[in-house]
Formats: sequence, C-alpha cells, structure tokens
Amino acid sequence: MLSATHEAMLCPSMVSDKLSLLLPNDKLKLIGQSERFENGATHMKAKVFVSLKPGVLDPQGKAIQHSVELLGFSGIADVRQGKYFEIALQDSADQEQARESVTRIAREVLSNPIIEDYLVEIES
Amino acid sequence: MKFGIIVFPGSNCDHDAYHVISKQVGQPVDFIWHRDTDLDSFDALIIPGGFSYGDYLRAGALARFSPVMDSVKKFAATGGFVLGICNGFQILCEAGLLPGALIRNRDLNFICEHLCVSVETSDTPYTNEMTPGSVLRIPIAHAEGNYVCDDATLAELQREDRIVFRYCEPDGAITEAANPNGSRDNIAGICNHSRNVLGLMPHPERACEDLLGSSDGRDIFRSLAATLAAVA
Repeated sequence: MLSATHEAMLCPSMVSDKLSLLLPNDKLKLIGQSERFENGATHMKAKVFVSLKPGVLDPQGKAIQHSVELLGFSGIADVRQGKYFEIALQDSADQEQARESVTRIAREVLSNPIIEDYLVEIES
Repeated sequence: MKFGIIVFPGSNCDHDAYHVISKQVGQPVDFIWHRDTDLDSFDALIIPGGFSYGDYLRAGALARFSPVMDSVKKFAATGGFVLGICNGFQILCEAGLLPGALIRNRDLNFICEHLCVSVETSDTPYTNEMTPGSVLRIPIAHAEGNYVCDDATLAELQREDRIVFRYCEPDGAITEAANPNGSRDNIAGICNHSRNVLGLMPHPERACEDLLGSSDGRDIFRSLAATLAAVA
C-alpha cells in the first residue's frame, strides 16, 4: 500500500485534500513552497532537473512518444525523459552558497556529465 | 597470488566469480565488503555483476561512493589489476576509471542470451593467452549495456588498441546485426590507458564450464592468472 507521502510524490495536487486529513497543516508539503518544519524554521528548497544531452539515444522517450500517439495525440515531434530532484537545505542563510553546493551535487552525483545536462533552481 | 571480489549491496554475480577463481582457475580468493578499504593483500580485484544499490539513479552511480572505491582507485593507479564485469563495468565508468558511459539498451529490452564477442587485442593482461580475432561465446544479461562515448574518446580507444572485445557474428564479422544493445562501434569491453583495468558487459564467469553451455570465458581469468604468475 502506498503511504500518503508516496501518493503526494506521485500526484501532489490530487491528494492534498486527503493528505490534510492525515497530516497537520504545518507538515503538508506542496511542490513550489518552502518546507515548514515543526520548529517554525523555513528551509530553502533546491530543484534539480537532469536531462539527456541532445543526441544521446533515449529509447524510453521514444516508447513514451509512441504511447502518447496511441492515445490519439498527433503532432508530437519528440519526447525526452529526464529526472527531477527536490533537495531541502538545512542551512537557509546563504543562497549563493546553497546554489554552489547544489550545483556540485548535481554535477558530481545526480548527473553523469558524459551523457546528461543539469539545471539547478533555488527557491528561498 | 590472491584475488578479491568486491561485494556491494545488490551484487549478485559475486559467488559465480568466486567459484570460477577458486575451482576453475584454482587460486586463492576472498570477498571484500564494500565498506572495507584495505586491499593490501590482493593482487587482482573483480567488480562483479549485479544491481549495486538497486541501480538507483543510474547503474553503478551510487556504488562509486562506497568506501572501497577510493582504495580501488589507488589500487588501479599503482598498476593493480581490476576487472569489472557488467555492473562492474558500469561502476568503473561512473567512477572515471574507464571512459564513456553505459546507457539503456537501444531496444529497451533486458537482454539475457549467449552471443559472440571477438577478442580484438591480445595486448592486455586479460587476453594475452588468446589470439586476436578469436571468437568467444559468452552470455550477456543487462538492460543498460549500450556503450556511448564522444568522438575523441572513440578515436583514442581505437588508436591505443584499447577496445578489447566487440560484439560479432559467429564467424567473427563485426556487423550491426550482431550488436545487441546499440553500443558504439560494437564495443563490448575496453581497457584503460595503462591496460590494467578492464570492463566488459558480457559475463565470462558464467561461461567457464562446458556443463553451462560454454567454457570460452575461462581464458580471460586464466590469462590474468598467468600474468600474475609472471609478475610474481
């Protein structure tokens, strides 16, 4: 059985009502908002997008495109599959330092520079 | 002469490799847990196949941060022999010990079958008992075995005779039809510049006894053992 958290990850907008029954409001996590913890401190959130470099074969993207076309959509030129990460940062003091740290995480762990590009966004 | 087989959470060909070294090659061998960092007693390391860390993030991506990997890098830098098989090859690429990357198979399938690879060079510690151009029948079992690299890397691999195995027809011909996963230049295995680190997607440890359908993989381990014996 999926936990509430898992459901929230899968589709946050659709399960937020159900979540509010299970969790106190201050623990409710919504994508796009800073995370609020029990001690009242807000924490910066970083978003990292990892995508295959142009030209790197993406057979999963092709299979998804095929399914989308089977659903009846036409005019889909291309589908590329990527990865999306949310990182909550404990130290919210310095945004520039946070960007530097997350960029390093994106470069050295989350992506493989031989085949992938990354994009970092910091939300304060 | 002592072989070490590195075990990560999710490795699953470690015992096959252990069996081959102890029973088929007849040499001392021990497992090395990925948290261990002392490799002083070993002469050659095998990074076995499997699904280290469940293939989370990318195949081999998380294993490279295991404590043992710093020691493996030092071991390789001082000329120690490191053989990466399948997931071991993916880990060696992620760790930067071999160039390039292994991405999802061209046709998305997990491919598990015996196929043919040609020995492209005998100038490695792993193939020096073999003849260039000879064909080995060895199984592959992977979903991410499509070898990619940029043009400069490919040119360097070719120029330095570092493409060790290529997917081929039973008669040794290198054709697109014999390429199971879309690998660039039909690459099935490469070595590093110093030739002491080898990575390959096929599983030679699963082809070391006739009872299992092929014993063609045995020569890779025997070549390595012969090299070690000559060094000692």
